[in-house]
Amino acid sequence: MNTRTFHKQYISNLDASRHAAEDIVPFWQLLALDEAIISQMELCLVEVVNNVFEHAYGNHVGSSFGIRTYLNSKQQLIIEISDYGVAMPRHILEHLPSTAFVEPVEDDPSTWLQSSRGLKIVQQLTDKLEYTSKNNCNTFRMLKETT
Amino acid sequence: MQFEIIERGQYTVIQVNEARFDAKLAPSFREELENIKGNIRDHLVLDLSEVRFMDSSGLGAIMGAYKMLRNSKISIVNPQKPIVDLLKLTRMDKLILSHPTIEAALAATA
Repeated sequence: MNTRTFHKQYISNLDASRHAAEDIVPFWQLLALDEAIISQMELCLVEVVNNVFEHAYGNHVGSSFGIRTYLNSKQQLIIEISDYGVAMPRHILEHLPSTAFVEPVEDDPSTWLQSSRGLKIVQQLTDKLEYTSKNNCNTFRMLKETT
Repeated sequence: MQFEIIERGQYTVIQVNEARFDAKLAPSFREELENIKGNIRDHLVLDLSEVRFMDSSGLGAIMGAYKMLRNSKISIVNPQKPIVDLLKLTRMDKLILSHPTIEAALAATA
């Protein structure tokens, strides 16, 4: 069983998601994860890190957040992203499973959305999401089956 | 250079010369588009051959182009598999079609 864990602190900024992906994708490759799963989880990681910068920290540069990722004993990939900013309202995650992507339609400009796809992408590509806020620390936890 | 602009009469190609079309690149793309929008004629072709990774910010920037150029056709050319998968997942593939080559993109709208 592979028991290695990646854990690192980052500073919030527009480059943070790139830095995290540069660090973590090679770690997942060392765990011999399927390339398709790595590609999907890289996207989920980037989406959540960008949300931390944009929403938890209101685009403030210089705040701290941490990322932990590992394979558990059931060969499930776990990714935990913890910040100390503004917590995400509970209803956002609760409503995600029951909403669908808005299909853009040529003659309906109201469907030409330029944002609001990130968390839906994450929900679609992962097997389980959890979000907790405790002691001023918010943790977004993603689980992905790898077998 | 992040973007190369190729003017060909009725169509314009924006070649994205970056591996990542993400929250970092999206503002530059929007700015580039703003600078050239007056020169774009019937068809804007986004050549994504070099793009290995795209996130929702990249998608948003492309949708922004669609919105800005309401009277022009927009096509994507030569997207890599993660990009094709993302367009399909988010259903953007229904609105902005992908083609293997610029010629194929032009032929589809001829």
